[in-house]
Amino acid sequence: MRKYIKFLFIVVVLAVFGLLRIPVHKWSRQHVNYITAVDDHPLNCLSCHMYTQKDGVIAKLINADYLSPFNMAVSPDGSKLYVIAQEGNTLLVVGTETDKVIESIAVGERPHSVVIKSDGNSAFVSNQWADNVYEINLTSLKIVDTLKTGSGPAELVLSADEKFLYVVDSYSSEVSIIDLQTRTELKRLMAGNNPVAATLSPDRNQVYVTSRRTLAMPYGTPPMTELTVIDAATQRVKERKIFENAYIMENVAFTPSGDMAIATLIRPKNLIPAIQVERGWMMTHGIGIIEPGNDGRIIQLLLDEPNAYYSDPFDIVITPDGEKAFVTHSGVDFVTVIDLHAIRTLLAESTAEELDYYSNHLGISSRYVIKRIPTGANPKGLVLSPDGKYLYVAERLEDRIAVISTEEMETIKTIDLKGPSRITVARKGRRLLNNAGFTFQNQYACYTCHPDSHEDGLVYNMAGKDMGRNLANVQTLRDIGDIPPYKWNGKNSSIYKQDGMRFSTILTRTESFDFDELDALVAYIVTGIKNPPNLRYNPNGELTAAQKRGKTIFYRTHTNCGKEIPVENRCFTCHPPPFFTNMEMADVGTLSETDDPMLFDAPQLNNVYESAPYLHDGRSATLEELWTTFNDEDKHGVGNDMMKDQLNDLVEYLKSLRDAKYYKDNIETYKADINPE
Amino acid sequence: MSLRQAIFLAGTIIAVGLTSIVPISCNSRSMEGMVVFTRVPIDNFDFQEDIIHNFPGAQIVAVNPDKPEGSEVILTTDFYSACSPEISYDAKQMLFVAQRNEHEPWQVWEMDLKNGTSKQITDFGESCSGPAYLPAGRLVFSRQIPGRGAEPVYALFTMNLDGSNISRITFQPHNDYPAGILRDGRILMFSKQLYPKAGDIMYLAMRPNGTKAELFYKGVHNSILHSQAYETMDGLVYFIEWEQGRGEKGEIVSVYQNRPLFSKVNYTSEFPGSFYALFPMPSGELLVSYRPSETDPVALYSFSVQEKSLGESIYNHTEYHVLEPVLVEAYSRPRNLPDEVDDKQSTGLLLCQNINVTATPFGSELNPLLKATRVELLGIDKSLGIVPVEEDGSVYLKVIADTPVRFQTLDEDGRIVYGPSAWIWLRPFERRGCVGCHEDPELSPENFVPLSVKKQPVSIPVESTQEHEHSSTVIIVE
Repeated sequence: MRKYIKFLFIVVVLAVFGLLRIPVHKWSRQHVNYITAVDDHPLNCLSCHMYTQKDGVIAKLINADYLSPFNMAVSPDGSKLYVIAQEGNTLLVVGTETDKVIESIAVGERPHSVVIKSDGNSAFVSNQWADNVYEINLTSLKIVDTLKTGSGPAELVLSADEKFLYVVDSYSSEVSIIDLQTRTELKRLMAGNNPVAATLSPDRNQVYVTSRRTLAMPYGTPPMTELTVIDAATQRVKERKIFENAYIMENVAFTPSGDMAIATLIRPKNLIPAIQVERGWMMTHGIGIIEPGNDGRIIQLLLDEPNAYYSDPFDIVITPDGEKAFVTHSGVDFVTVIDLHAIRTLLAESTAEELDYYSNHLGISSRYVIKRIPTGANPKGLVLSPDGKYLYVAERLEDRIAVISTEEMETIKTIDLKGPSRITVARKGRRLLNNAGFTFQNQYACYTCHPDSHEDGLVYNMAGKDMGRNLANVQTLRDIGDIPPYKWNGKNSSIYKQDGMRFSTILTRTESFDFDELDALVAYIVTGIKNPPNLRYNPNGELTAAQKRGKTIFYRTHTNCGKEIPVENRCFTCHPPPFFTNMEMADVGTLSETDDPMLFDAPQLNNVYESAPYLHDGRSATLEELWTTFNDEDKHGVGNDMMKDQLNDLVEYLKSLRDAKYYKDNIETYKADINPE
Repeated sequence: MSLRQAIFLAGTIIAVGLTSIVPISCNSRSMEGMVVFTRVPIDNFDFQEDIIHNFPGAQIVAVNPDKPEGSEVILTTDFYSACSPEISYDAKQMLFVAQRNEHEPWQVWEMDLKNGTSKQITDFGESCSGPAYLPAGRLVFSRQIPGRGAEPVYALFTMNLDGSNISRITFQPHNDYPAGILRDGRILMFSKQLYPKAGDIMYLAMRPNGTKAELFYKGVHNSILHSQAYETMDGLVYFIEWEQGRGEKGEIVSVYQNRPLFSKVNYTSEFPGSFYALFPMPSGELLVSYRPSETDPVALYSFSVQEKSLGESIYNHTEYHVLEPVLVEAYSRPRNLPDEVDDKQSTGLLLCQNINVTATPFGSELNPLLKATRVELLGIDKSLGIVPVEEDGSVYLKVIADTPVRFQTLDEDGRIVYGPSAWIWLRPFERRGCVGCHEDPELSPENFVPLSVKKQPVSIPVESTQEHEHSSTVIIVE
């Protein structure tokens, strides 16, 4: 009998599995269909439930810590290359003869740039997520000092006498001038919006600082991005040059003679209905030229071609003879070689009207582009050897340095920085996000509108069914994995849906991602994109007095008059921690005549200080305007009873909001904020 | 069962299996590496009359390029005529057009290259030509449709490879004929305007759903583009051009896909004979159809692009011209472009950013630029309306889909400032933008909000002006 019981047990188990198989499969199919918004995505539990793990053992096993080389400097004798490993949080010392990493020096969080003193004995490294600069003794390879800076230190420039260090503060949009004798910050100068790069003029009298984001402009006016000119003698801002219809000016370089300063830039077409990609209808990429000797004339020229775009120009260097410029295009994995003699000829023989015309001409690049050199994934920083014979290219998503002969204009070797050899799913996704190959004719990558996986500060005419309708303020990609739905109208319930077939039909207008690619992209977006620490407004979690008062207002339940605020109209109802969104749709009285009827997805507010402009169509240039200008009917929270100082406090509190992890780690505190009783 | 019995049984099973496989294997063949071409009886060859390449009595033949003698196989013995071979991405199938019998219309067929069986894909009362594979199991081909006069014209159609889901994608009064598929996923087509006057043959590029058609390449006036065009992995597009003024001969040229209008390179200007067709080989060389002199038949050669030199003849025949060579080898699939066309809609939207942006961007004191304030849309037979443009020169139109229109710009007095333009059409729900009117085709748009899109689009035809007479005082006419 016992023998039969065993047999019976096996039969029952098999029967149960057999019976469950069909409904479980059916449920799985429905679940995957719902998440992906297609009915043929493979039923692979791992792609969603394993590769999107952010923490824990599995996350550690499936992910890897890459180095991500970003910017570089070379020693005065050319024997060593100093490489910023942006995600390795290290400065790598590489022998240019041995092609080997000699030393790896741990630096601060998210280093950005490195500059070497002329004697080659010390280096300065900016730590963008730590708000400081390390001084490193290059003999002992030790950190010898830490210099406090403004927020988000990026590019570093030494003054001619090397007594001062200019630090571009990318988050606080300033330039810190540090006295290297007293080791103190001497002053801060206001720069453009989100400055990142700087260079010293050959006569050493001026520092040019380029920025990435447009100055605050109302919708309907083109982006205006500032290049700040600092007088090195007086250490004051001498001039603010405006590049019209351009932004993302990632880097700038002078010719040795100083006749031109050339910056990389993007010319977006955000004001035109986004109805096609053909003919540079969405994005074009090029250079901005300043001629200091010609009344500071500004000219913009494209590096694109009529059927091929060279997206996301990043760094630029100019050979010591002033004949060639090299530009990395991180969206298409190329270095463009520019004949500067041809540029000079073009500028000399063209009228101002013609040059203005050329700024939109896709064929003009054939006059001065002499070579396109392919690189590894996501080329970023460039540096030339002191003799100008070799060009080093930081291939960020390869953990590799390419070495290009400037004479032959060909890659002659690569230097492996010895990062992880395997390419994880998330890394693959990151490459996809950074690569414009998934847009028709490579016109733009996800990264183009989402630089640093954030947002570019522009409002695009997404032209739903009609043109001229449905303006969309670009939203950040940081920390969005857990806060569906997506898009302002909340139509996309998952990132799979957001980046799926419809994405390719209306945005990239080329073949959509295949399932593996989509899985990888989702894995990266969910796991790999973090908000920088909000060191500017909330460095350690201790709120200022004003922020505390603002927090009280944020969590208030009654108006100044003692009237109870309806639950649905309290700030924290729609914007509860940790993400400061309830992930629900709401009407906050901002629907305009050019919007299709819709509710809006409550946006998250983590690091909201760096996401101007605000509201779905970017009409609010500042947080304050949300209530002073665009909340007449108190639909976007009750605000009209507030006094000016209360509004100031509320804004101060909002600026203090940090990444979601901070609030998740302090969840009890914030539960108490929401329910004080 | 003893071991001996087991071995005997296994041997019997294997033997039976092999005997059943052998006949199957004999019926199959490997075509990998073979060169397939069309051979046309010399008497039936009339080259320059048309861009449509259907040759009566032609055969599709395969040869081994390494051992051409004795390896010749006629693939289309079941047909009276067959031509235009096109190999699938996996090199397992071949599209072609053929006539079963002499006076029947040409239809598109697909052959399984492994066993030589063919299936008919189209079954129309009119002839088809020039089939080409598209991604996602579709093909594009040219099909006769009624023209304005007695002569039929050709338009492009797409359909599934099983013959279903047919869709017409070109709607202009032209003869349109597929010339190839670009790696970015667009169709390249020969296009020759027929009305109101005959034009030159041009290459136009467009999406496989018939949207965003634009000029890709045109030669000097009266030049003839004749061969299929092929894009190589290094971004060059090769084809044969009969350039006006350079003698009656076809020459191998290439253009750079990234900038096709201004990058032409001629590789055979020194050759006395004429080239008729080409196909790029993985080695970098070209297979070419070349006729050394008028007294010779067109034969198959290899051609070195680097050296600009002709190799040995691969295949020739005293009674046939050898045309349309293709190599049977797998190749990378072009991009599968998404489809925004919505067949439930009856209109498309067109935005012209500034009608005063033209091919003449700069005026002078002697010849100041004239400013147009209105745009007239011309249909095949009548004006479809005159629309005032906004102060910034923009105009926003809702146009009946799948209908050819031309534009001409008018000044305040109704005089023509520029135009008429080339024909364009919009597909249902297509939304298309133009920088200007007959502007520099390499110009990208200025970044500003066109005033016209702040309003509703103007519907075309404009009801009150449907019978409007064409404006006629020409100031500048393209």
